Amino acid sequence: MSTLFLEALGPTAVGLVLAVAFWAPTRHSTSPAPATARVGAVVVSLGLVGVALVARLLAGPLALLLDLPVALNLWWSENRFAWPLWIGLVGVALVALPVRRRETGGSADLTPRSLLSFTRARWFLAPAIVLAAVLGLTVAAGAASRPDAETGRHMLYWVPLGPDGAMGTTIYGWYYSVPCLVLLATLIALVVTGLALIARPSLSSDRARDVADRTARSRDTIAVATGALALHLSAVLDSLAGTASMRGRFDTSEGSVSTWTTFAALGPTLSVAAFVAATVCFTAWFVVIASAVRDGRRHRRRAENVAVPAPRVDTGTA
Amino acid sequence: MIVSLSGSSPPTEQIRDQIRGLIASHRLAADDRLPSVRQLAKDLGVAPGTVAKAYKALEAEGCLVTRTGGGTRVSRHATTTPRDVLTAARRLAETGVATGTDLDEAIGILRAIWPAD
Repeated sequence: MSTLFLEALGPTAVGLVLAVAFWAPTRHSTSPAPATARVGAVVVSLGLVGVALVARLLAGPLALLLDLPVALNLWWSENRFAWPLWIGLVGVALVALPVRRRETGGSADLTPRSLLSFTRARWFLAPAIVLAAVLGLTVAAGAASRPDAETGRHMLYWVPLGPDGAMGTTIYGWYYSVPCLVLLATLIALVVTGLALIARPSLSSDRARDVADRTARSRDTIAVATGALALHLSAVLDSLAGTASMRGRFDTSEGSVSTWTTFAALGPTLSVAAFVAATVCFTAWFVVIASAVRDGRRHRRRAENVAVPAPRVDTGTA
Repeated sequence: MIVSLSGSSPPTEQIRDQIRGLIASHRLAADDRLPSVRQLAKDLGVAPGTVAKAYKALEAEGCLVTRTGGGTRVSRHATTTPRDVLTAARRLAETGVATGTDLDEAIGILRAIWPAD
């Protein structure tokens, strides 16, 4: 039971520590975004962390402790790969899409603005790696999947046991992955739209503050999407670890024979990779919160420094 | 690099004159990219045709070059300021402002580190 709790809560704890210890105190090169601009992102990230945590607990240790309704278990078994992408879609929509109208006219900055104007190339590294891993595993698992004889759904993985038999289990086949690929494409489209809508309006008269605000919103959008992608990857890896763990034993005239999947040796690696992917997810979401708190503090400190009046020099001529 | 519309002269002329001025004063370097006609028109609150006319006039003067898919850029023949130098200078100015280093100090530092002939 303690192992199940560790698997469910471990990535959250490690993600929190990583976000606070290694990310929040650094990156002081840009101007801080005003705290008010980040409240929405903090609320969304806290919501995502909360939902993900509850889902992982319900699917893990609490499933053994509580008598959960059968309908919930069925829903979970059908949607266990897709729900991270659904909550990612909601999160990105809430963080990126509120478009603030600007008053136009009079003056304009001569710097071109595109959807990448308020982003950094390094922010796309983690999502690109996670996306490549998701697509690679999706294709590999889909190709290995076979249709269910009754439903025709590509969700089974068979290991042949000689000429007459075979043993099988479920796998992340096309039945599960095609809807997830559609959600994945929608998530990417939403991120691109969000970044374009953040960049498109004209800059306000307080240029530095506006640039800082838009940079923070772009970063939050990418971080929220990265978290959702990583949580989806974690679910896929966890499922493949389960598939890899299938073992079979049957008796022959020459004694007992054990058999397993062709990728059984990868089982522990897949489990660890699932833990790491979940950690990446929670780190990304906690980074949004940690950076917002840090920016809020820096912004307040700057405001206080500006508010302190300069000492008056008495010339004594009055 | 701000373009502002004021006064009674036509907006096309104001945009053209100000961009020309920014190139002449080395605030726009060779190959610097300008915003799209649509973006600049929207930001200034004028019709896209107004900005397009200004860009066309500057192209005719040899100040700007428009390439398909490459946007509108400052012509290499219009200025001798290398883009890399101006980009580095802008970054130095931003860092100076962020760290509280004033212009004279920054010039002093540049003089100190500039390689001797």
